Amino acid sequence: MENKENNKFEHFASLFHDQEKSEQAGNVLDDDFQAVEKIYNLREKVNKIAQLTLGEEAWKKIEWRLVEKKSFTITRRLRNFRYAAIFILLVALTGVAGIMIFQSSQTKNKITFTEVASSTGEMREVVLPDESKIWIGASSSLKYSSEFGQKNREIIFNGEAMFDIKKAELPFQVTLDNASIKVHGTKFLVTSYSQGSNNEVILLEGKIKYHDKNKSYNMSPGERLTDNHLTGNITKNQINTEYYCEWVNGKVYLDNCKLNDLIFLMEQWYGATFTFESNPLKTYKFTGVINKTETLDYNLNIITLTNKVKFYKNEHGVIIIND
Amino acid sequence: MADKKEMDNRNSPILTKKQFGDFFQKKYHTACLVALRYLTDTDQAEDLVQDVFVTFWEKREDLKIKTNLQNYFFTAIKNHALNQVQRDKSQTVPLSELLIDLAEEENHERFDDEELAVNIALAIDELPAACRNIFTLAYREKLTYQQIASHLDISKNTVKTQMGIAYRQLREKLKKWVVVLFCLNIKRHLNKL
Repeated sequence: MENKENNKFEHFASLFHDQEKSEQAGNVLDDDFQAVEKIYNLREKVNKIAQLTLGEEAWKKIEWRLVEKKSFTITRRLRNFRYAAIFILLVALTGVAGIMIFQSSQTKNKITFTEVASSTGEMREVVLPDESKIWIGASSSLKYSSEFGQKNREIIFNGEAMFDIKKAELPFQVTLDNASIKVHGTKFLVTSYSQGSNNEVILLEGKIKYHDKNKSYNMSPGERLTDNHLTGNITKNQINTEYYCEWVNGKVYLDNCKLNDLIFLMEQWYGATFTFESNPLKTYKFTGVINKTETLDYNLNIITLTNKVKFYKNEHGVIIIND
Repeated sequence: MADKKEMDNRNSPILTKKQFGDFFQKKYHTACLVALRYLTDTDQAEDLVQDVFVTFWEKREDLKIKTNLQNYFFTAIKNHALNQVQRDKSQTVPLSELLIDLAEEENHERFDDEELAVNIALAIDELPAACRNIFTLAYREKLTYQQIASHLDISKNTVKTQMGIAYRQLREKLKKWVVVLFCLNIKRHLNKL
């Protein structure tokens, strides 16, 4: 029986493969013949497979793209952003140690977090699941959980960014190290780095609520809120909102900013290391516009023009000395 | 009801990364073959397939998949490949070079041939070594029995026997698939009558 079966397949096979016999490969009404024919007809496709990467290797190739999914596919020059901001919030926040709330919520179910991070001197555009957009600046990171958009619209943020938040029923919350900001639908800009002395929030239009551990503060357009980490003092003052609209184009307006804070920001933008020759230099004040898209040297020159400081470069970085 | 997300008919609303990885690895070659219906370059096809998968992962929460995940992917890949062909019109490709069977185009939403091809490749790998060697020379290298016999220094009869064994084993392994295709064939024949 087996022999007869084998003979049958031998016969079919030679109809296709052995040219001497291939003259009569017409229609044979037999399941096995049709199977052989099908296998033979698909040989081009089958043979292509040998040229392909193994599924396992291809998966390794794309897996990393799934982890940092957004940060790679949507990097775009900030210059292109048409700034018709309705709502700008500037959070300059320094002094973030990022363990916090996110760990306690992580123990429930299997919540997974997506983290997007940028490196020094880089800007990225991130689209959240609810279609809110975030432009993050240098050395910044944001995290959101798999429950984002379902149970909450919370992101955990550290660094510098502008937010364009879609209106939705769920309030949008930006959780900072020691405070949070609640909004409903807005565009705002966040700058937040992990070693610093205060949080700074600047609201240009609309309404937001700033919550620290004990209290919440309503803010109106044109207000700047400063939350000092060391003293816990919260102060509010009026600013000219126009200056802050240029943030997305790389222009940063500084109003009586301590040189120490400005240098800190520049370290993030340019990845350079600065050293103060003496401590009093740190408290020098600077007012003016720094354009992040310009070179480091260009901006150092501007600072030199308005302050009594000079910069010297050596192999360790930049040294700041008294003029 | 229309809003309900269906994924591969398993009522799992959220696709885990592990599931996604398993699915990807299982269907990767089939997906590449679908792209290769329209593209000639394997690297280009692989890039396209990988991009479609990555894009899906990013948008998975928003997508409403009407049929099943597998068909969704193959259709998406087909459409992407067609778009790509239209975009690079400069790269005109002779029809004869494409793995596309124009007569089969009416069934272009079906991906059975690609599925079957992947399973044939797997079944070939499982053939006994000597048998696989002979079979590959005939099937891939397109050598005649005489050529294989002299190449391997064996008798032509041995080639014939081994080819019979190979096809019989493939047929056994692929029974499930081939039966499905027969039903289609019969339907097509009936339609013609």
